[in-house]
This record gives sequence, structure tokens and C-alpha cells, in this order.
Amino acid sequence: MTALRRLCKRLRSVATRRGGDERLREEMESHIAAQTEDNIRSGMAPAKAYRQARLKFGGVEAIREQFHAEEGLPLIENLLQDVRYTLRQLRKSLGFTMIAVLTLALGIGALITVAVWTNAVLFDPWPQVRDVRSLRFIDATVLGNDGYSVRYGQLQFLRQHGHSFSQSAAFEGSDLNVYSRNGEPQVTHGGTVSSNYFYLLGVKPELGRFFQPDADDRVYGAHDEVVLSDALWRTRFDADRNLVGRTILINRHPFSVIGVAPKGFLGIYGGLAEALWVPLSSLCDLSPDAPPDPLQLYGLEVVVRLPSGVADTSAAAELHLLAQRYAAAQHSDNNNGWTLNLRDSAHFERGFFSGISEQLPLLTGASVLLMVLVCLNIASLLGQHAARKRREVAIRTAIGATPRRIASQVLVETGILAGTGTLTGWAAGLTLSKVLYLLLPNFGLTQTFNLQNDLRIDAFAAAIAVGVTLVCGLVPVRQSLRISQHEALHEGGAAVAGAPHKRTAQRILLGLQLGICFMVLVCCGLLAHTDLNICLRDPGFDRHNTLTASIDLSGAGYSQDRARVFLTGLLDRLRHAPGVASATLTTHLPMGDNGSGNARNFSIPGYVPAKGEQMLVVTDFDGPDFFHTMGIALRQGRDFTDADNSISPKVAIINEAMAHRYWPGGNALNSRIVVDQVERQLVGVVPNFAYHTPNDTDPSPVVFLPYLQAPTGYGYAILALRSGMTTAALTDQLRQSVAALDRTLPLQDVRTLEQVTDDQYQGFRVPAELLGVYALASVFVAIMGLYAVIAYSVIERHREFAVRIALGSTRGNIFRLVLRGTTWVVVLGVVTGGLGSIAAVQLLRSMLFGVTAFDPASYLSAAVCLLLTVFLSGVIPARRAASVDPMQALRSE
Amino acid sequence: MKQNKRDVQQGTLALMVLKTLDVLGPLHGYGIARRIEQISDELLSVNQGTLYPVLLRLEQEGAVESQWGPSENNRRARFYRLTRAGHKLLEAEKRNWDQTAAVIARFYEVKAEDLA
Repeated sequence: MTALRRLCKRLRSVATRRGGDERLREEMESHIAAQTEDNIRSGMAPAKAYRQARLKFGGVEAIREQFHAEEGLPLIENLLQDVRYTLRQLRKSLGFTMIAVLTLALGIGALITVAVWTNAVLFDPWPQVRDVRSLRFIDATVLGNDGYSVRYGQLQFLRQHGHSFSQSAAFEGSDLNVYSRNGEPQVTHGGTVSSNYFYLLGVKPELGRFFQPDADDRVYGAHDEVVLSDALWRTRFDADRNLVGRTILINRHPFSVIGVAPKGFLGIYGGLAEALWVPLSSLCDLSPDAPPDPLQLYGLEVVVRLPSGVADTSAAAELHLLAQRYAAAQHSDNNNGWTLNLRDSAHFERGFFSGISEQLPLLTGASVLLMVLVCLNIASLLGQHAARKRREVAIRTAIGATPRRIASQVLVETGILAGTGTLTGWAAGLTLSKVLYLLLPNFGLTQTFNLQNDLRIDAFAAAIAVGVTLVCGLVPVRQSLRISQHEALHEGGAAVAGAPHKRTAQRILLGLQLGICFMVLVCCGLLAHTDLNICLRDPGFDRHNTLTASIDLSGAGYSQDRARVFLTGLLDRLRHAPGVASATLTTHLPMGDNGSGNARNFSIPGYVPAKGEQMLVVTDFDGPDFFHTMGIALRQGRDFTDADNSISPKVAIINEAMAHRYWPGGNALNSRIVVDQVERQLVGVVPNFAYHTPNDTDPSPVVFLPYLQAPTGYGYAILALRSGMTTAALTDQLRQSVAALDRTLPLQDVRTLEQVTDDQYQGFRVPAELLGVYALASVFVAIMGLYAVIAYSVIERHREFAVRIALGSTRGNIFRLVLRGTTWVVVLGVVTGGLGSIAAVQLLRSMLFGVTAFDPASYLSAAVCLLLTVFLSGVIPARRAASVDPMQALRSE
Repeated sequence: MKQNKRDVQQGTLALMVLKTLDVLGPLHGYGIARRIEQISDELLSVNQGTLYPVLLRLEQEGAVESQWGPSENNRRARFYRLTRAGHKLLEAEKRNWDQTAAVIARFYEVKAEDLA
């Protein structure tokens, strides 16, 4: 208690800086006067009496020191003094301060950005959700391919037999046609979720209630209820509090609004925003041609909660066992090679999180490298700064400053720089992480990331600041403590050529900086080369002058038959519209994001599959003129036509990969193939084209079937129009044609084929672009560091240059002399950078396309960049050195 | 070592200051120094100034209070007075001291056969 009270008083005394000096002085005077009087009374002469009194009192200055030490907190006072002194000094050398702070801000900003993103996909992705860290996702692997959904029956099996999960819920994203109260429909991305979804997530409603957690998901139509997101409730329903209990139309079916989710909750679909949620039991009412028991067929995402104390590994092991038991219980070949996996939020394959977490190691690596570069730079800057203050430190030591005081001042200086840099970088990082958002491919969907600052990030930033202070502070502290007073104070006289032995450490620091720079440049070059290869590669179809859109007919209440009639009519109308060269329908656009990969059973008469060979093939349904519209010329045979309809003979077209595999003799045309028990004649062979991604080098077999020969699947169609002119004019044409047939039918995803495919290209561009930013940043940091060091050495050596010029050296010689000083640095940089690159490139290998890991062009251009960097940073100081006026320089001392 | 010695001295000095104020009532710095000098003889016959940091410390701890007042010969002096907390502190310190002294005394009196 007393200790605390005393600390408070001392702190107050430090804070107010109100010294008790006056009081002490008066008390001392009074004390000595009283003693003197007593001395006189006992018979001393006044002068002697005073002298004796003083002697008895003791050293006034020492007492004062002691008194002040007791009064305040000397540690804090010294610190404050150091801070004031440092601030004054930093203000005086503004250039140095700015360079140091900016450099630090750059490095720390990059680190914070990565931290914010890591936080947003791994640690705190979903605000409002209780205990996110214990949530896990389950997906299936089929024949080694990850990312398959789980069926409801499988989930029920897990619920009955599993012990590792306390709760499990199912959900799936879905585009819903939501009608506002004035009857206008709008396609809105929502979720179909199991009844215990909100209960498991622990979300509390902002208004109303959520679904009854114990309702049976398979009692279809029993609970046609909807929960709205706060955003949807505000934008589409004017935040009407009376909406709860009312009915709204979704896919033309009435749903009763039971609640509003809290602000910020937008589902857990990996960064994809959902605006409303309906229960799985309403699936039958969302589409008129839904099967009687849709949960038996539909794939779902599964989220589970791990109870505390259950390790991921043991839960995953149980899951594998359960999957084996389930597969064994099915007695069917469909479950060969089927297993279940446990994923955390960052590896949940749906949405964007897994894509981002794939980039995170690269970004983290690049940021850490950049930060190391920045630290090296700061250390060398501070070392140089300390060298500039040698004389000052020598004087301070000479008049009695302890090594501790000197070190503390240097650390305070480093700390202030690190603190300011961290603050700037922290603010920049928070902004930057939101800007980075815009770089992501968005596939036409609304994204939501929790890019908020939180305590974790603040703590991280603080840790960086402390780390930088300690790491970078060591160099100047060591340097300041080793200064020899004798040498420092006598400098002016003897040394003409500076003190070369002191530069070795600095050269090593600079060399390492250039090495890191070289590494980043090489990686950036490799990725840029990769990107170039991918962009220049012919995708096998024509991306230009094509407009695409999709329509959801079953969402609008069409039956299969009505939908087929509608689509046939629409195609006819579009084909004859002005400006349209050709029009078609499809279930999957090349490199599109929708409806691909529907594998179907097939067999080929006369072909005997090897034991265990899966007779499954990816199939698409395409309308008349599909290949013509996509700009794909057939190798053999013909395109689909209007005549390929439900009453005509069944036909199919295959790609070359399929033809080579099953008809190696080249006799595929007019052969027969059985797909889903329907025998078809092959009427065409098309070249392989980029089916999913632009770097698809190993094309899989694909079978294309006529759209109008499909038994079902008319509920959702993708339209594609090839234009004779610009695609802009086609948009109106398309809207008019659709409106002429059904005024209320919404048109979705109206994009050109270029826009659709750009999203795929963007996925490859992002790493190269990001690394490009890092490369620029590291070159920038290296230039600043080199410039500062060379510029200082030129100032330090100006007398030497003056002597050289006076002795007949030309200005050109001096210029070259300065630049030649950097040779060793460059050599060291290329050597360390080259060695580092060998390691770094190993990590990049999987991201490369058409480039070897030791691509000479990338290495060469990195080396050229490095030389340019050094030249750029050296040219100004070198010119300054060459323009030294010998008379002035030699006279000035 | 140097630091330790000062601490011990300051500790005993503080105790003496408290006891002096307890016995004699409010007193100024010089008065306290004289009393301690008279009683202790040795300590504080020189370096009387060290008293003032001790007084400041005691005041910060709340054991004493001080205010300006006129001294016997009408000089302005700062008078120190023991507070209630100071009384308690003195009691505690005295108990402590007595205990320590008793233990040390016993050690001095001990003979070899007592420990056998």
C-alpha cells in the first residue's frame, strides 16, 4: 500500500515536473543558519561557526541529488530526457528520420496486411459466430479428388455413430429469387441450412427468432420460414420491424419471415456473403420440379463443432473410420475410394478462403523477407547515424555519462523510430488489406471478409516494434559503446581516407539487403514469366465478342416442359435478332465457374474396361451451334443443330482427349457410346480447349450432349451470343428478347465471355502482381539504404576526394571510384541472393507454368535490375563527390 | 555493497526520525538532527543533510506530514509531525527491531555445549 502510494506521488512529481528544489533549498538554509547560531552561542567566531555548520551538514549537491532521486523516479526522468533529446535530434536530421520511418512503415505495413488476412480466414473469419476456432468442416474425397460435398444420409450416419463432434449442421449456398413487397424479383445469394445451423453457430437473432433447432430437415414443407440478413432487411425491406411474422415470396413460394440475423453475420461460406437463409426442409418448395426427397440427392456442406479437448488428429482419424464403415455398409461401387476429411476455416474448399490461404504462405514469405530487408536497412542506417554522432558520444562519455546512459539513449532513438514506423505501417496495413480485396477474382458474387483490426493484430504490431528496436538497436549500441574517445576527438587532424575497417559490417549488411532484393526479383520474374505464358497460351476457343448470361427458370416457377419450350423460343428469337451472329445454350462455359464436372457413367460397345477402371466421364449439355459460337473449329464431323432434339436420333460430340484414349485408331466418328444407359452416335470430334483453367495442360476426356436431348435440366440455362459487332449492343438485344417472352424473368450474370474467363486468369495474375508489389518495395528499400550509405561515405570522404583532385585525379575518376566502392556489395548480393533463390524457388515450383525453376531470363533480368538499383542509388552521391571543390574542402577544416 | 550500506543506514535513520517525532512531537529538520545526534552520538554527527531525503521518503509514504511554521528564533522552518500511519509504522518497526535484536542477542549468548 505504502509502496503504491509512494509510487503515485513520485509519478505525479515526475509528471508535473514541480521540483521540491525550492523547499529543500529553504530547509537547508534554515538548517545551516540554526546550526551556525548554535555554534556562535557555544563560542565560535561567526565565520568558523558557518564553516563548521556547512561541514556538518555535508555536501549540498550530493544531498540535492539524493533528494531528487527520492522525489521522482530517476529511471523515468532519464527516459523522458532521452526522449526529448532524441526528438530534437530526429527533427534536426529530418531526411534520416523520414527514410527510416518510411522504410519501416513499408515493411511493417506488408506484415500487418498479411496478418489481417490471416486473421480473416483463419482466426476470426465470422463475427457474431461463437467460438470460431472450434468449428470444422467436412468434405469428401472421391478417387483422390478433394472438395466433394457430403450427402444428408452420410451426415445422418456421422451423427448417429460419431463421438468426436458435439454438433453438426448442413448448409449450401443457393441463388434465390426474392420478391420485395412491391412484387419485384431479385436474384439474391442465400443459404439453405439445416434447422440447427444457427443454434450450432451460436448466433443470436437481432429480431425475432431462428429455426427450431430440433425440427426434422426431412419433413418437407413443414417450416417454410426465412431468416434475413441485417443488410437485406435494411436495403430491401426498409428495416421494417413489423416484417417478422409476415410472408414474402421466394422463388414464387410464400415464406414466413421469422427473424433477422445480427449485423455482420453473412453466413460461413468462406467469404461469400449470404443475404438470407431458408431451411433444408423447404427445398421442395423452392423448385417445382424438385425430386420428392431432395436431401437424398443433393450435396451439402457440413460444419461441426469439436468439443474442447478433442484433438484434430483424433477427430480426423475417427472420421476416416466412419467413412470406411459407411462405404462398406453401402454395398455399392459408388463408394470406392470415398473418404471424408476434416478442414478448418482456412481449408474449407468452398468460397474464397482456401484460395486465399494458398497464397498466404507466399505472401507471408515475401513479407518476412521484406521485413528482414527493412531491418537490415534500418540497422545499417542506424549504424551510420551512430558513426555520425561519434564525437558527441565521446564528449558525453568524457564528462561522465555511463555506458548504460549512452545505450539507453541509442535504444530510445531506435524505439522512437520503430514506434513511429510501426504506427504508420499499422495504419497503412489496415487500409491496404481492404484495397487488396479489390484484386480478388469475384466471380460476380458479393464477398465478405472480416478485415477488422483486433487485439491480436495490435499485439502483433507491438511485438514487431519491440523486436525491431532490439534487433536493429544492437548495431548502433555496440558501435556507440566501442567508440574510443581519443580517436573520436582527434579525428579532424590525421585521417584523410576515413576509417575503412569500419565499413566491413556495413558492406555485409548492404550485401545481404541486395541478396534479398535479388531473391524477390527472381521469384517475381518467374511468376511474371508464368503469367505471360498463361496469358499468351491459346485457350482453344475465342474469348472475344461473346455475351453470356444465365436464367433460372425453375426458380421462376417453370416446369421442365414449359422451360424447354421457353428456351427453344428464346433461342429462335435471339438467333434472328440484329447483330447476333449465333446463339446457343449450355450448362458450362469454357473456363466458366458454373455447372461443370457432372460426371456420368458411360460405356463403349467393344471396349472392355480394365479392372477397377472407373467408367465415368465429364459431360456437358450444349445447344445448337455451341462450338461455332465459342469459336471452336471441329476436327471431324459437325456441330449440334436444331435438328438434334428429343425426337431425333441421340448423338454426342467428344473432345480429342476422349477420342485418343478410347479410339486410338482415329475412328471415333460415327462410333457409338452409351451415356447413362442411352446409346448415342458420335457426330463430331472437337480439339481440346481450356475447360476449367487457362493452364489446363492435361485435358480430361469430355463428352458433349445436345441440350435439347436432355431428359431434365432445363430449369437453369446459360446463354451465349456471338456478336458480329460489339457485345455492348447485344446486352439490350438480349434483355428485350427475354422480356418479350417473360417480363418478370430476371437475367443473371450478364457478362462477356472475356469477363467470365478473366476471373480465371486473375487467379494466376494475383500472385505475380502481389510479388511485383513486393519486388518494387524491396528495390525501393534497397535504393534508400544504399543511397543513404553511399551519400554518407561521400560526405565523410570529401577531404580525400579534394586531395585526389588537387593531386590531378579527374572528376570522372572520382565518379568511378565512388561507384566502384559498391562492387563488393553487388557481388555479395548476387551470391547470397542466388543461393537464397535456389531455396525460395523450390517453394514456388508448383506455381510455375512453362518456366523452369532456373529460368535464365528471370535470373538475368533480376541481376540487371539489381545493377540498375545500385547504379541509381550511387549516381547522385557519386556526382556530388566528383563536384568537390578542392580549395573549399581543404580550407574548411 | 555501497548501496546496501546506505539502505541499512537509511532504514535505521528512518526509525530514529519516527521515534524522535513520537517522543518530542512536531519538530523541524534541524531539531530532529540535533536530537538524533545527542542520543546516537556517532550517527549523524556529520552529513546531517542525508536526513532530508529520508524525511521526504517518509512523507511520500504518509508516515509524516509537514508544514511551514516559525522556529524558536522566528526563522521560517518546516515542521514534521507523525501521522497515524506513522505511529503504526513505528510500532511495526519497533516490533521488528525487537525481534531481530532478541534473535541476534540469543546467538551471541549461545555456547558450544548448547548446540551439541
